[in-house]
Parts: sequence; C-alpha cells; structure tokens
Amino acid sequence: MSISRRNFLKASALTAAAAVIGVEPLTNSKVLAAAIQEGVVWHKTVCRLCGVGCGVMLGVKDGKPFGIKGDKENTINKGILCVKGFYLHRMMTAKNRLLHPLVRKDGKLVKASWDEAMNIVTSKFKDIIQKDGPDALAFYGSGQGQTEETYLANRLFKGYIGTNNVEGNPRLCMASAVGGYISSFGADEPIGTYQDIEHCNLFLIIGSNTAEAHPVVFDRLVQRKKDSPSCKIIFIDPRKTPTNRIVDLHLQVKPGYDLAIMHAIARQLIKDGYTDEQFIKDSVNFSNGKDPITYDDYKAFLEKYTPEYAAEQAGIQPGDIIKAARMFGESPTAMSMWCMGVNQRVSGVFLNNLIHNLHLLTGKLGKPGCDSFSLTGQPNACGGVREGGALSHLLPGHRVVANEQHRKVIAEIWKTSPDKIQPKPGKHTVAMFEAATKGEIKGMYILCTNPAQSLPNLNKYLPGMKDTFLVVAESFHPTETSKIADVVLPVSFWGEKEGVYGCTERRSQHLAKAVNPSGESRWDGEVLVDLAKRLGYSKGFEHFKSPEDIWNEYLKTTAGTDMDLSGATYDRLKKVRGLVWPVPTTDHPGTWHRFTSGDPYFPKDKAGNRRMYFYVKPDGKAVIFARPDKGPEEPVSAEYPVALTTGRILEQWHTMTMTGQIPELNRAAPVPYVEINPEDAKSWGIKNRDKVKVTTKRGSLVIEAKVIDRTRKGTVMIPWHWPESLTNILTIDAVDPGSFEPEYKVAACKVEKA
Amino acid sequence: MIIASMIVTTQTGMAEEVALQLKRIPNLTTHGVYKGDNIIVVMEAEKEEEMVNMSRYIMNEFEGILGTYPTFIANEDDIEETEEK
Repeated sequence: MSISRRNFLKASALTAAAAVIGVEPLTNSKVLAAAIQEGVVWHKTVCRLCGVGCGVMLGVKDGKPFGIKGDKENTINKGILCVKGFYLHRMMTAKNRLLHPLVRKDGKLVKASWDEAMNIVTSKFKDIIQKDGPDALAFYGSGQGQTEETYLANRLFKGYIGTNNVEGNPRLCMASAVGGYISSFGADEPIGTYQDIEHCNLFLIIGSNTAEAHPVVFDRLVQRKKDSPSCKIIFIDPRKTPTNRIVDLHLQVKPGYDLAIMHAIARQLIKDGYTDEQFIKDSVNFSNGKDPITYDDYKAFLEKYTPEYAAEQAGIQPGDIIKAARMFGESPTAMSMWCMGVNQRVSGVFLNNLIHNLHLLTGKLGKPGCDSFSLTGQPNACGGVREGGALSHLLPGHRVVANEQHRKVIAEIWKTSPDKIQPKPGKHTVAMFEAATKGEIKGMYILCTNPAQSLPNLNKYLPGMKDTFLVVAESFHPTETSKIADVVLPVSFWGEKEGVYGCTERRSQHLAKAVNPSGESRWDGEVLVDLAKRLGYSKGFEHFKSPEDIWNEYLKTTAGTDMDLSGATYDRLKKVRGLVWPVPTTDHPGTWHRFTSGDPYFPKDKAGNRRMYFYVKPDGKAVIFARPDKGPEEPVSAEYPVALTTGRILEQWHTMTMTGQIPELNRAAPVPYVEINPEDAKSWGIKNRDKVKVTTKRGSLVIEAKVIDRTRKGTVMIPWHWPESLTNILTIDAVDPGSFEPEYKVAACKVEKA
Repeated sequence: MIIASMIVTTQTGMAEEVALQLKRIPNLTTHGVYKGDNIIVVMEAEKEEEMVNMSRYIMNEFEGILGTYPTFIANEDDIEETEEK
C-alpha cells in the first residue's frame, strides 16, 4: 500500500503538533509513524531570528532543507514556533542568497573569485593601516553572528590589527539594558530566567510588544495566566497592540515620558508599605548617579513624583499609577519585561535603572517568580556581543579594555602582546559611522548586518558609508548595505555551519550544521582566519580549524568570571538544550538565579545571612538610583506637533533580508505604512490607505496611512522593516550618554496628506 | 503543496467555539481541542500563491484567539512517496 505524500506530511504535521501539546500522536497508522522518520534527518538547532532562543529541528532530506518543526525538548519554546521561525528552511534557499564573491569594478559589483576578493580586502586594509594607522579601520558586527565568528573578529581587530573600533548592532538595541544591569547590579544580563514566568503572578511589561516581537514568550505569559487565574499583567506602552489581549491594566503613555511613572510607582510602594526593608538593608545602596545618598535622601527625592505629577507628564490617569503600584506591591512575585521601547531612548539606561529600582525596593529579585528581565532582539546579542565583549569598550568575559589586568589576561589567551590592545575604548556605533562621514575611518568590515538601513538619521550617514572602503560579509544580496559595498563576501547561512548562540536568559545553545554551504559561500570563521593570515597574523590564527577550536579558546576567557561557561563544552552542548551560565564545570547543571545561594560563585562567607550578595559590586550591594525624569531629545513642537515612534510587526524581522524573501509573510503587510489614530486621521482629513507624507527635521517619507486605534492621539508609529521605504531617514541619532544607544523610539514629526 | 500544523491558543472556555469557526476556512482542518484551550489545526495550500497569511487571518478574524503557533511545515513536492511493505 502506498501512502500519498500529502498524507505522509499531514501525519508528520499532526504528530509534531500533538507532541508539543503532550498528547498521543493523532494517527494510529504504524506505517505513517514509521514513514515520518524515513529519509528525513532532523538536526537540533536554534532559531535564527529574535533573541528568545527557541529550539528548532531542521529537517534535511537528500542533503536539502526539507522542513521545520519546533523542538519539543527545548525548555524555552517546548515545540512551538512563531510564524517567522516557521519559514527558516525556506530562507536557506531564498532567491537572494549570495552564492559567489562580488567586487566593485567601474562602479558596479561584479562576480569575482574568492582569491581576487580577499586580495583586494587585504591589500586595501594593509594600505589603510600603513598610511592612516589601525584606527582608520573598523569592524561592525551583529547580534546574529555566531559567538565563534564574533570572537574571532574581536580577536583580529583588537588583538592583532590593534584598533578598538569594534562594534556590533546590539549597540542599537541592547546597550541601554547592558548599562542598566551593570550600573544597578554590577554585571550584565538578567538575574533569573524564563523559568521564573511559571512562578510569577504579576508581570510588568514596559516598552515591549511581546505578542508580535517575542510571540513565544507571549505564549508563556498566556499559559501562565491560564494556570494561575490571579496572575495579572500591567502594560506601559504608547500603543495598544496584540499584547493587550492579556493585559489587565494599560498605562498608555506619551512616547518618551514614562520615567516619572516609574518613580511614582516607587514612591507609592514606599508609602503603602510594600518595601522589603530587610532586603534593602542587606543588599541595597542608594545613589544620585554621582554620589552615594541615603534611603531617606531617596525618599525625599521621590516626593516630587506624585501620581498626579507623573500622570501629567505621561498623559494618563493618576489612579492608574496608584493601581499599578498596588498590583506590584501586593503580588508576592513580580517580573518586569521590556525591550526596545525602553532601550532605544536617550534616557534608556536611566529607565532600565528605574525598573530595577522597583525590584530592589520590594526584594522581588533572585527568587522564583521574581526578576527584572530584559527581552532581547537578536539571537546572539547576549552571547556573541555582550558576553563575547565585541563592543568598543569591552573584552570577552565581561571585561573592559580600560583595565590593564583585563588586557593582560585576554592578550595571553589571544597569544598577542598586551600592548597591542589599546586601553582607550574605540568609537561607539554612531560615532564610528560619523567618523566614516568625516573620512577618519577609511575601511570597514561589516559582518551579518545591514547598517545602511538600520542606522538612525540615515541621510547623514549614507554618504560616508559610500565613501568608505566597505567589505560586507553576507549570506544575502542585495541588502541596502551590500549594494553600496566595495567587496561582498558570500558567507554560509544558518543550518550550513555550526556554532553557539546565547539567548536572553543566559542560555548558550549549540546550532548544528545540517547541510553544506550554498554555492561558493564559506563559513565566516574561515573567512576571518583567511583574512588574518593574509594580513600577516598566521601564527595567531592558524590553529583554528573548526568552530569548536574557537569556542574552546573562548571558554578560557570566561573561566572564573561571573559568566563562567567552562562547563559548556561542545560535547555537552550538542546533547542538551543549552546551559545557563555560570556553569563552571562539566557536571554543573547551570544557574537559575545569580547572586543567590544557587549561584556557584555566591560567597557564603561574605554574604552571611543575606539572601542576595551582588558579588560583582565591592560590598555586595546593588544600587537604587535617584535618576531625574527626562523627556525625549526631540519633543513635539509647533512645527512638528506629532510624536513619531517606530516598531515591528509579527511577520517581519529587522530589515527583511530573510523574512522579506517569504511571500506568505510579505502578504501579511505588503506595503509600508504609518499607524494613525482614528481621531487624528479625522482631524487631518486622512482616510485609511491614503498616501501621507511624514516629515521630521531629517527627512520625509511618503507612505500609506493605516487608520487604526493603536497609537494614542498625537502619536504615529511606522514599522521600520521595509527597505523600499527607509523609516530611519526620519529617526533621530541622539544617543543615551551612558549606552550610546540612539533614540529610535521618539521623534517629532508632522503628517500631511501626500 | 505546502502542509503545516499549528496550535491555536484561545481564551479560557472559548476553544470549542473557535474550533467550530475555524472549520469554515478552506484548506484548514481542525484536529480537536486539547488540554483546555489548544486547538490543533493542519493547513494545506498550493505552493506559495495560496497560503496567504493564514495565521494573521486567524488572529484578526476570530474573537477569542490569543495566539497561533506553528509546529511543523514542509513542502509535499520535496519528499518521495513512501511504500508500505
């Protein structure tokens, strides 16, 4: 008897869904069950898209991508995926895959051999170093590169070429979260994990459209609310979004005016007696950002932040602030989650601090169901860039270039001279591209990212990028960046190479190589080693033969640090669904809550009776900050009376390099649009689908109007995905002074019918 | 032919009603309600041209749905016929 292909696949599909829910397979046919396994090899890997870290099984048949299913063994997603992850295997074979090197000749990108392309890069880089010094070169990486790739690039540029101009696009999305964690708790990344969700009864979501940007986390929130009917969700965001479906209280704030609310909640928590005074005494210091202050000083500082004051700032009702504070205070557990709405702000670090303040005041931290938990936008922003130290001021293992001892330790591991690593931080991302516009940076190697679409205030930076000798290592072409490159190197895509991703919850997971690289594409690590050898650094790089070789060296940089990954060997990572650091030995299970007795580095002798000891701080105490409330860099004005915010939609990711290749996803939102509140649309004489012109001080965009009750009156929102309609022409490049992250989330604009 | 499965999560107590509504979507079959509020659905579509935004459509058109989560997708054309022996 033959089984039709269709029935075979239906059985596979049903079995996958049933397994996720945890019910018996829905087909009784043994033949079908057997057929499901026949000829298809499923490889354990991790989703290539956002930072949630979902486990994915990539099916391969006859050496080609066959299908995708969620990994039901993975603790993060337990088998479910979002609609984007669903199409990963199709992205592997997308029409825009770049299959051979390209070099610019007579103004046009033409096909070249690898040797020709690499010779051009080598020759130009050597020339720049000789004439203008190493700081005339820069590397711009990505939270999507695998840790091994980012580590190699960091090692080459900082440790051998000798420039700290090493940045990555996490500067544009997560840098404020890093600044917040380091200043409040002493070390980057969350204290808890996703596991806290299942123990939590009060979620505070701020500046995150979780339902669309992190759908699998949203599903865990949905399930938690179902499992615990008393569980509540507070939502602070300028827009109504699909996240509202499960929200109990929405504070729909004016974009950029939410800092005062956090202070007002803190004030109310103190006034209503919801603070954990023993925890504060044991584990908290207070600061005004410059000097230490007392708890009483902090209370006095908060007096300004009455619910009425904060409500007026944010354009909401004072009663809702009191209600939010009481919900937070009354719940025995609380978990805050945030994303770009908090980080992409000129006061991003401050706002991160203020979120942490609520947890420190109430002691809702470092125990089941309690955490101040930053959501991440990219799959390896935490792993490769933050932990790998691939920003201009960092070194691997939560070290900094400014620290002599740190430079010595890393130089020894990197087999280079400590003098080669400069003590002065390099240029942060916006400064780096500004230096390119001034001709100070003359050559740049861009790995796996698309700054010609993703930088803010694009009109200012595009000319400099075009003038710079630009090398782009990409799996896809054309992108806005590859189009203006001088050399485009075709590199392997997800599924064609192995490596490690580190996701939001400090979990490092192994990605399998399931198929051979497409066309002439090569693994980024191989390309970087090749470049290092051609630049004359063979001795420092020739021992790297595989991703595992690089990972093993990287592990040495983490040994003994608060992010110890020594126990996360390739052998182990291939078997398990990731490990959560610190994981100091190969028999250590990983760490749920840092800075508590379950943390292998928790100093019991120093901690005494303290429940939490922040051992990365000199006295083991975290800091509550009395930060001033600060509005946006560019408030609305008579000339630009509307607040512009940017955002994301469910079906697309970043600059659409990958998701834009999937027709099913494109059809969900086929044209770029601006969301306009119905009341505004009426008063402006704009109807749904009218063409409108959105103008800021930096440029204009003609775009379709989507009249919908999502943004508050006086605010419009444009998703930033579409390359044919560059939203970032409009955005402002003012940066947070601590994190140097730009304020993509707030600008002033005017809207008129086109 | 593209074949995919998905779990549709609904608000408490609404799964049976939503499942009934989903049955009216062409090329979509429901395969029961499990563990309270989870509906298993299998979708079929001819190539790329017909599989139009199923999950957004479901999310937008039907009351009571909290999320749609794919679990499997494959293309019928990519696999050989299997013989039972």
